[in-house]
Amino acid sequence: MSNDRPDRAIDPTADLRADLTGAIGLQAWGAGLGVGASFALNLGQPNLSRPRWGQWRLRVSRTAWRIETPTSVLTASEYSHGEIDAAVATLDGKVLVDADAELPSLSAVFSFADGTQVKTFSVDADGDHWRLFRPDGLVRIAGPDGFWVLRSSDSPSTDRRRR
Amino acid sequence: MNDSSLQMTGPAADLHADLTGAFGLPVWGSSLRLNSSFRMDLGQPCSTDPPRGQWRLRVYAAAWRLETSKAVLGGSGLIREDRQAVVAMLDGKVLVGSDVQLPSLSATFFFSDATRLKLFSQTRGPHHWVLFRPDGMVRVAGPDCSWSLQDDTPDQDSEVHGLSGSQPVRVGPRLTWVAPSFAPRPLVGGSLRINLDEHPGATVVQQPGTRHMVTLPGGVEVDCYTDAAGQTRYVETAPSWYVPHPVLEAAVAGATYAVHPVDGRFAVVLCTDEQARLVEIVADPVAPVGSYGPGGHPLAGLLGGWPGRVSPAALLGSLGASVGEGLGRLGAWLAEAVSRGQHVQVRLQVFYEGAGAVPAGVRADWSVDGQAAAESFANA
Repeated sequence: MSNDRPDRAIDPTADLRADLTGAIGLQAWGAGLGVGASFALNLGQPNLSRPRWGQWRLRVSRTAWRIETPTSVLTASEYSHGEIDAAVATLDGKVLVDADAELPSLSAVFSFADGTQVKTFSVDADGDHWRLFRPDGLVRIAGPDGFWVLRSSDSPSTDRRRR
Repeated sequence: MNDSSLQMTGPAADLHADLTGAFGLPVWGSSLRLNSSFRMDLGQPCSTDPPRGQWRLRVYAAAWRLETSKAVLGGSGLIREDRQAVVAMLDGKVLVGSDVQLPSLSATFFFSDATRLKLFSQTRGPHHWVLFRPDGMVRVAGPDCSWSLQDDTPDQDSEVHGLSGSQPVRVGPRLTWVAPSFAPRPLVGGSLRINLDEHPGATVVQQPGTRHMVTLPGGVEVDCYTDAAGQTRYVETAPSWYVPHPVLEAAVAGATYAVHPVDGRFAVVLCTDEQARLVEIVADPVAPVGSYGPGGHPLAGLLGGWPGRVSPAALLGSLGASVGEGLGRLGAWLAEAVSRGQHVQVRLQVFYEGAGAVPAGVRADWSVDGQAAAESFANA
């Protein structure tokens, strides 16, 4: 369980960029809506055991989020289902160029070559705000109360919910 | 933060100018409104009833978070009781700065104790947030990326008033719903989480005075609040893809079903009587009519406009297409009146013959600029 404890002195942007080593410069694919307003996108080769997953897979779930360009908002977490679905799909083919995560909220920004950005905004809700699955079988998890861990994606999830 | 205004342009500079005179003043009157919307005041109380500060920030559909540089103090994703506590923390904080991000018009307000209030636009609007100024003007962020300064009319602050008791419920400028059956959430002493997504066979045993947070198969979340006798009195859910499940299918007697707003708009509230029959509907008639799709109830278009997203569908299942058409016509007509600047009040009651379980029809009572009228739509 010690792996599940958030580090006290963390640099989430450095960690996230390290997690994405090898993914910068790759095209997103398989971007699609999940349950409710959650969505996921893939980078890299399809995962052998999970062909619909890439080597990297970002899943944004229990957080507010927005997809925007420098001049317009394409969609956000409370848009209608149809609008979200259409706008999320446009992420396919976009080339990831950078990512950062801010303290203390662990809200993240994923930037693409054409200026499009995926921005998450943690609202202190229960559950994981977003997860980044890596090719080495580890998963980066950002959650409430500064929950920031890297652990095996096979590990059972722990219930950190507090409401 | 004031010095940085020299470099500000566009909305950031506008907001800074709007707040001229407010920097250095303490916040007062912070109050959570419907769901996660809230307001806070700055400056002297104005002679309105209830009193309003010279400046009032009203956060509508934006997600929000209060934080320091080291810790998140809370945000719009918390349960209501915790949200309320976080909003109350704003009182007494001294405003020292502000900022606005483009293109989303997400705003940040900075306080002297190094806390900051961050707003995050996540809907089309109509309003992400608004700021009332002492000169009678209102800064409006939304819909979408529109940024404007408008006249302050008495309706500007009326988008969603609290859902308490028999108070009228305003769901938009110039539009008020009257719903005497509306019951507030029961006060609860604790919460219980039931995950039927991970444990589909689990049995839900209701506890008195408790908030039951149920995750249905597929991840849809429903909160059921029980009173001191253990009776469910309030069911709250998000407009999610319809998932048939007994928790939503079985109508509960004397309860209020509230579906959260989407796109910054009130979605729908349904009230049942002691026979678990639907007796009141509160919804936004300006929503597009007829946009329902496979799996969606014909009234879904009227009651929110999202295919299949009116979750307590069982409550609406006994209302047929004739009611939907009638309410659709009325909704379109009332929407025109609202768009002309007229003031509209609406009440929708479902009526029955005797103790019958199937509705005989829906009676609509409305007034436009004080002119009252009513019409009944038979459930054929």
